[in-house]
Amino acid sequence: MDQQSSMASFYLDKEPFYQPVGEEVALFKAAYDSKRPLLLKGPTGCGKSRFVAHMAYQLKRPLITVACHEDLTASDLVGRYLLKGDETIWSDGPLTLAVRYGAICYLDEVVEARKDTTVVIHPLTDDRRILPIEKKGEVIPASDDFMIVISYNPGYQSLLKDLKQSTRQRFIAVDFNYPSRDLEIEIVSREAGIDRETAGRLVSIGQKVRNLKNHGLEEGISTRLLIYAGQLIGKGIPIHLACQATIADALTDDSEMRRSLIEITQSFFE
Amino acid sequence: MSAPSPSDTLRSLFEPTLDTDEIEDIVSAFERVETGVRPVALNVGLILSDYSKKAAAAYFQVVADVLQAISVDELMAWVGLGIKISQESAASGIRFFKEGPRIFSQISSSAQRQRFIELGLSIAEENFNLAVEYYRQAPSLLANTTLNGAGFSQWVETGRMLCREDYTLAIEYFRITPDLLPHFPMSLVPKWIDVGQNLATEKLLPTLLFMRHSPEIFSKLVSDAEKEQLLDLVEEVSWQNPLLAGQLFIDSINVLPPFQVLGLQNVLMVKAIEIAKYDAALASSLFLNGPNIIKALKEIADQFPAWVDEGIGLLKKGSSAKGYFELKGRAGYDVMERMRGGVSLVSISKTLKIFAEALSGKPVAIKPTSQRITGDEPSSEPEESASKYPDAPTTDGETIFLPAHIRYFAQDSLNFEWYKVATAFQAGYLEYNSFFPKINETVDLIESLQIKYKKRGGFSSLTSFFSLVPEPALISSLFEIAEGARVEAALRREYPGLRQAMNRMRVHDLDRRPSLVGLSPRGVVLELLLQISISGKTKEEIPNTLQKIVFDLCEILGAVNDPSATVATSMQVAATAFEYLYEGEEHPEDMTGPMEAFEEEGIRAEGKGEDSGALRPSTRGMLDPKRVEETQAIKQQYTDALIEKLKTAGLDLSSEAAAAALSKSVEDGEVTFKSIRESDPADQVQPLADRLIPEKPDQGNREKKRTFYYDEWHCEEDQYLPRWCRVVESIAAEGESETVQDILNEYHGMIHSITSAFQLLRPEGFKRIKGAPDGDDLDLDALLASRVEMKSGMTPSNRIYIAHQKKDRSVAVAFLVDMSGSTQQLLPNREKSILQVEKEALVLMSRAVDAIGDAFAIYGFSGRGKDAVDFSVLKEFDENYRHTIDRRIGQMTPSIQNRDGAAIRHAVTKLSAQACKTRILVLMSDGKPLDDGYRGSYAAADTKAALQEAKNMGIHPYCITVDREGETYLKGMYGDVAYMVIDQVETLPARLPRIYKRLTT
Ligand SMILES: Nc1ncnc2c1ncn2[C@@H]1O[C@H](COP(=O)(O)OP(=O)(O)O)[C@@H](O)[C@H]1O
Ligand SMILES: [Mg+2]
Repeated sequence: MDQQSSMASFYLDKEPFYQPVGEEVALFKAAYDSKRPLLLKGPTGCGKSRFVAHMAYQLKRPLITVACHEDLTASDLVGRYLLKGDETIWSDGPLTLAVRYGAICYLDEVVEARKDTTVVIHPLTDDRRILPIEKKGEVIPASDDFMIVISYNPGYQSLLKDLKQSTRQRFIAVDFNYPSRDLEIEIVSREAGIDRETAGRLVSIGQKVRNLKNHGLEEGISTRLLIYAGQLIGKGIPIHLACQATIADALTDDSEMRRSLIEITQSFFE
Repeated sequence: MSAPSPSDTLRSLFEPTLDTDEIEDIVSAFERVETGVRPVALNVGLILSDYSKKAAAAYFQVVADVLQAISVDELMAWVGLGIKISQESAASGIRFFKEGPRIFSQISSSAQRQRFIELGLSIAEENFNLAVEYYRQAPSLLANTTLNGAGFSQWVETGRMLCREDYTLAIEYFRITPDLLPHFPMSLVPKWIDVGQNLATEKLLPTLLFMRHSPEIFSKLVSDAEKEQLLDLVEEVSWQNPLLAGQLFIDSINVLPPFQVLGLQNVLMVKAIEIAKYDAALASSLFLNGPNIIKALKEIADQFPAWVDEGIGLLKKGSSAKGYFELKGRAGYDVMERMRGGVSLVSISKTLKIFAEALSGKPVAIKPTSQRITGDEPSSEPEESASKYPDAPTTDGETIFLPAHIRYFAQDSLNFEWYKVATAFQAGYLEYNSFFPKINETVDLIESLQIKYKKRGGFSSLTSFFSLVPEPALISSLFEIAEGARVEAALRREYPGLRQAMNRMRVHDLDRRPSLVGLSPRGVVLELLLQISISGKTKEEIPNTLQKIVFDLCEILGAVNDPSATVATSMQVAATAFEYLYEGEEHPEDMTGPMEAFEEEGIRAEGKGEDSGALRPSTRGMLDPKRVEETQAIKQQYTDALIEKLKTAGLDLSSEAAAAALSKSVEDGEVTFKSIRESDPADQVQPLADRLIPEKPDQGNREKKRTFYYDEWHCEEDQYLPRWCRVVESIAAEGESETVQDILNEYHGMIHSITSAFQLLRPEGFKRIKGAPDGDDLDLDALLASRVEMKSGMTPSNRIYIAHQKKDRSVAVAFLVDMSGSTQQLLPNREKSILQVEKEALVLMSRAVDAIGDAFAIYGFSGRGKDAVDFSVLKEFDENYRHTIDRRIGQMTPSIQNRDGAAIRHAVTKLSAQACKTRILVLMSDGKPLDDGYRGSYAAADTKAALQEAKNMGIHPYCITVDREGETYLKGMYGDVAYMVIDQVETLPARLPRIYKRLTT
């Protein structure tokens, strides 16, 4: 079938660089082997998506990623009927594809999706490992290689955007956090293509700013932002400007906080 | 027969009423009258006795004395006036005559006496009491002022006319003006009376107070022009707010003197008048705060006019200049700072705080050095720093203290840089752990000192370490130099971006070091070491005799520059340096050590005699380990006590959480460490514990009150006061149905049309959209059509699906209604109160929202004080709309005050528990948050913060207010939150549903 052949596009052709920070690689493998779904918790930009991509490559599985959002419906995940020429044909959604062909399905920022959407994954996350497709009256058993991974940022939003207990208790959870200093320097210098000295200073900035949790910067400064700053610097943008654009202005609208952030970033670069 | 002698006449006259002694008194007094005038005096008295015997008795007693001062003609006029008064009241008559001698002794000219009595008669026509008052007061007026005849007549006439308006005022007028007029031109008196009368509200008291304070107040003003200005100001304010005007006048006695010293009193009054034309309250803010402003301006007090003009500029631009003139918040200080061309700590303390917290990784407060608790001086405090530089940056481990203002450089960017570097140093002492050495790193050092100096201890703290040696002050100074150098080196390594700034500051720091002249030899060595450690060089040449010592010590201290150095290294080098110096000095008896050898030279050392006023604390600031240790210990005790307290209340708090709560409380000034030191920590933590312990639900209480705590934004401190407000939630009482019935009747037609209009907005549960380009099911009709199209050779439509769009109107709205006392104010048409209109609006609104099917709640709030914010639930989200709700609305009654911030926060908590896409908070108020310790710009800032928090949580706040005058003020308070000022409040019920529709569709 041409759908199966289209799976080819979901295989990663080169290994995404991922710097392990803790035991996450072993946990992922264990979950995969025991056919359990995985929940990645952690602040934004700390490498969750990158990690999943890396693992998909390692396990030689195709990776289907769905970025969740408010208007995502169950049909968007499962599939729907489409008209092709003069006949109607069923088209699998990303989840169904993954279930059928044994892909890793990554639901990114899962709390963003409506609760009635997230329930469709329930039968896939317990021992049944099945996906009922109501519209077709069909129940698909998951391929042995199928795995579901969801990510979730606990520091984000409020009561509303919390993951339901009935959902989260089905998962093996891996707690992500910002990498340790040395690892983060490694990541930043590699991803941004800058020397370790500069990367080290950027990481110092990150660490200092993460001290400011009780000033409305609960999210801290992500590795991603540091990489952006590094990339701008690598492109020859003056360091102060790069830091201002990627750090101070990105993190806050408050003028005093912004000024403080600029002072902090400037303390690290002559 | 011959006529009876005057004495006998008197005896028979008084025979029936007085006893013999009294009569003989009178007779002998009268016999002192000159014989020539005795008959006239007798006859006049006899006429008087026809009106009042008692008055006549008084007359005969004094007439001899009176005649010493006045002529017989005048005597007759005087008695004429006396008769008039005695007719009305014998008692007044008696007093009138008794006072005669005193009165006439004060009036020396006959013409004056004549006018005095004449005018008295004219007043007596009007009111005899007034005449009595006049009679008593006029002489001193004549004696003490330069009023000419016309002036005097005007004075009397003014009083007479005033009496026609108000008798009490007229009396007061005669009493006060004799004291006033020596300092006040008669020509201004009518205006003075006018202004005074302007102050009267329903009561006369403000006017009376105004008059009574006038003599003192005007006596302090020099020129008549100034006096008139003050009157003008009071008048201008009184048009808008009579009470405030009175207050302002009375307080002027304190306000004006500092301005008079500077010759600025005119400016103050002229500016205040100018502002009063916009806003009287603001004018009095300026006026009453005048002395504070002058104090804050200090050396640039002469720039007061320009400072005020800046404020007026703000006002004209439409912002509320209240905070500016009251010096609340920063605006006012910022302008001063700009004027004096320096940088003030207040304006950058938040920036520095964040900077310091980022660097040190722990919460710190930034405060001016003036708030540093001094007191019992630590014995080991380095001799120079504390006393010489009270402004030196330092820390107690929780707070970083910095000078309140800096103008060391012409360029403010450099002044800021000074602050930044000084903050980096203090944060550095915390980041690099200057105060709490690790025992394992110091154990060898301490043991060797113990043995050497035969002492015990030294492990527990830096100060105990210092006291191991014979001269703790010396080793402490050496340690301070070493540790400063170590931290500087560390800062330079970790923060390359600070190096440049530190280099600039070190030049300045060195420049501001004291000269060596007059220092003790040891002082010279320490000073030179410090200079070298700061900048690598010395300001003056190192005296030959000291070169070796200084170089040796530099080498010892240099070890701290090593990247692996810790505070233990600084302790080690300080100890080594100490031994070097101490042993070199050969204690105790031998006086020929190297230091002593230098002694004479030291005194002769040439210096240019630097002006010591130019000395400044260096950016390194000073280390005060004792204070840090104390603070730490107290904090620990406090934390323990707090945890203990909470444990007994069944609350388990981690020690970090307790420490954090404590830090906040200290930062907020609720407790100072000093106060803990002076009393039992258990007592001290009580208020904090009370705030942390959630109130137990009152089981017995019928209404089921629940208690919640919320932070409050403290704008001046720039931070939240944790769990500051206690919100008590209860279900609103139900009233009779009639009140609501009236509303329903009045708005019958409107309710009907609103309800049907809103029903149209109601979404059906699931909307099937036919003919969609994409969907979950096929639309058979469309599919058929499409097939037909295809068969007939057309391009078939691809709109053949049915989309199940759950077009849910997912809206939750909370109405939060101000029920404070101010809402009982009537509308201009005087028919309804603000609250009544709010009720009507709610009844209509409820029907509309119910018709549309949105989830909604209605809350009211009022209360008194931060611990009793009443939050009354009229309808909860999960309650159905029923008549009970109407009856609760009907029963709403205005009560005390409104603390908007806390109420908003509680409503937001409830609203955010609603799982709806769109969440709206509609705040209905009269625009002015007001509660105990909650007013003006403070209250506005907290309200604004609360609304901002709501926005951060994805809630849309919308404010509806009826305060027409407050437009500028509201803009500040509501920030970028949408709001609407209802100008015709009576239209609110009709408009609210329309506003709601616009907001949600
Ligand atoms: N451990 C890591 N190894 C490699 N790159 C990382 C790592 N952590 C973060 N990154 C970098 O940060 C960026 C953001 O990470 P990402 O996985 O998108 O974050 P998340 O999914 O947690 O929001 C990545 O593109 C990658 O460049
Ligand atoms: Mg009010």
